[in-house]
Amino acid sequence: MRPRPAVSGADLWWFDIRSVHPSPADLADLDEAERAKAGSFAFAADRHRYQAAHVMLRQVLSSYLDVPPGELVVGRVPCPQCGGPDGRPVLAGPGSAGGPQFSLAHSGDAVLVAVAAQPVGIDVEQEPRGCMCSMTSAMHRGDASVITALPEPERHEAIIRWWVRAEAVLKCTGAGIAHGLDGFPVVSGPAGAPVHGCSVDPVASPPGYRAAIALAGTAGVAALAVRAAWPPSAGG
Amino acid sequence: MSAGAGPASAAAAAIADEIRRILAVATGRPEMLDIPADMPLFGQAVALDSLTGTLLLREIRQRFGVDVAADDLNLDALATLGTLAAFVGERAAADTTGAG
Repeated sequence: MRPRPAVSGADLWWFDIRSVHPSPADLADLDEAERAKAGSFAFAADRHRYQAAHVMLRQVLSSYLDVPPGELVVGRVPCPQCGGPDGRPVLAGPGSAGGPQFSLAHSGDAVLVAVAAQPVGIDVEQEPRGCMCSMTSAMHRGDASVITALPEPERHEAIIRWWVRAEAVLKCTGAGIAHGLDGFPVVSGPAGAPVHGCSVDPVASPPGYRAAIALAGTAGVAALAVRAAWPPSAGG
Repeated sequence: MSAGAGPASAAAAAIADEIRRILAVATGRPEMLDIPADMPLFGQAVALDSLTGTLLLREIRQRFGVDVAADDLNLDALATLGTLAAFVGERAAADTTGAG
């Protein structure tokens, strides 16, 4: 059984969905909600991304517990903002006591799983090519004024950087994105300062992608250990 | 919410086309230009990721002056491409006439 990461650290697992081909047995490990979600996609590419991500998440988490992938139970803690049922996902089944916290993100061909001792949020995004300037209206005023003042292409890059940091923080706290992204500054505070009660760091990403991690608490992100690297030949 | 022919449905159809274009550019996926009006955009079917979903609503706010995300998310409006386009069309028309 793999030891879980130390406090203020996290294990990172990258997967390229072009080289993930879930078997029927892998797909049978998904729970009812995951199978229903997979069945609801209109486009096969989206279904594959979702299935690959959730199959790999279960295999990764299984390696930290004495529980097979298909027997892992993923529940959710309540949203801290409204008490709704769609807060942060957690391991909830038998054998998960003392197990790790985790976060899953996927975008384009990339899947990224973070495993940590404390609540964690991870986000990865394939960098959009189109203009994203309208996103500044979703930001905290401080972030919007800093980012609006930047010239291109720095502004475009800053918006993506803002997004992955904000998304990582929301996934760490478990507050739904419907509650908005403008309640706290994400990029305009002092360098290295906690964001909304979380410690946030960028994550080295494949070309064409950007990622960030948030760990609950203000102690910082001490060590990120890449347990599965993005295949060097795969590109972005 | 009008379902038949007429100015409102013509406006909604044009807005739906604009939404398709926004999605195609944001995702880099031309198949978004062909999604039918009754296709869900959020949660299932297209199942936009949160970045694309947020960008879509911000683009709608910028282009049509309609903030779908105001007063908490209007979940009925977000059911499908068609309901979103109709909602935006109604709100934009109400703002133009001063009725809303």
